[in-house]
Amino acid sequence: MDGATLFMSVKLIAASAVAVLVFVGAALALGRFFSECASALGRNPEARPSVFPVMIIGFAAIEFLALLAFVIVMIILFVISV
Amino acid sequence: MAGGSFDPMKQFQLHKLADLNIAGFDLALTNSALHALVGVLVASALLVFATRRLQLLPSRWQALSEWPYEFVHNLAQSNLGDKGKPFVPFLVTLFLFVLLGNLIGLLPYAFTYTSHISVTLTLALISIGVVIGTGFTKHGLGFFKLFLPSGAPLFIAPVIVPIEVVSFLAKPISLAIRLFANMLAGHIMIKVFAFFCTTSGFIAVFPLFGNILIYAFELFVAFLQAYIFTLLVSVYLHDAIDLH
Repeated sequence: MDGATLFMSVKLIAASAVAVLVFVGAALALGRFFSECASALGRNPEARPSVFPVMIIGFAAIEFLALLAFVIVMIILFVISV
Repeated sequence: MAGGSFDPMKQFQLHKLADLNIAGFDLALTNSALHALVGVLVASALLVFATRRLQLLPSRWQALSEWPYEFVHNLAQSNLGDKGKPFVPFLVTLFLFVLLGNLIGLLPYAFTYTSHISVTLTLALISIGVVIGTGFTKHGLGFFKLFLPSGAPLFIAPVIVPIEVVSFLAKPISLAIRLFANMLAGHIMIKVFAFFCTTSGFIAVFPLFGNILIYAFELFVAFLQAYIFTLLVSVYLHDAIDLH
């Protein structure tokens, strides 16, 4: 295996590892987060107007971390070269 | 076979449509700038023409133009209270610009101007500029109290101040990256599924259905991202107005 192929495979493995690891993390976070929101709404359905913005902001925070990983993957795939 | 030439990133390439050089700066009209202009024109045309003959019982166009304003007004009201009134026009402008960017990008062959970090970072920096300006005009140098939560004992200031400063500086970056990466990821996903449709023969029905679902999801994301952008800017404005 020559250097370029090795570099390409390392790049692909690194990119997919980052993507999958963050996928797992984001899935756990989203599940936890929305289950908490659902139970809060279940206990007190009248709190919906005040829970909703908090829900969106928390969702945005989780999403931001996942998208940061997306940007890292894009950088690994398209910017880094030999 | 189209396989060799398939490139999901091609849709994000910038082209020069008309050259324009002013004092050494390259101000050429690109496809991104053209779509941004279209977005601004659509928003302005909607707001100007639909509110020409105002009626107490709104016509359909008037109702359509009132919707974004009322939506953002309610958002500002719930986050900022009555102090948020002066910021409603700014927030409506942000909301409509981001929303139209996302929606225009969903049309076939159109360019998504919110998928470039140069555009979203500019929007984010303008918003943070407004936040900082508001903070300094309201509180003067007292705005720096933002970095030390009230009630915190003074001896933990060396720890908490750097954290607060970093989290403040991360705000425009997170605003910019969220919007641009969402648009980028969604559009790449649409194009990849469209590519599956062209190569998988008669079972192309399945990726086609997948693509329809993703398209609907992208429509939802277009609204959600515009909403999140406006919501976060109004939350930051609230921090600047009331300190915390």
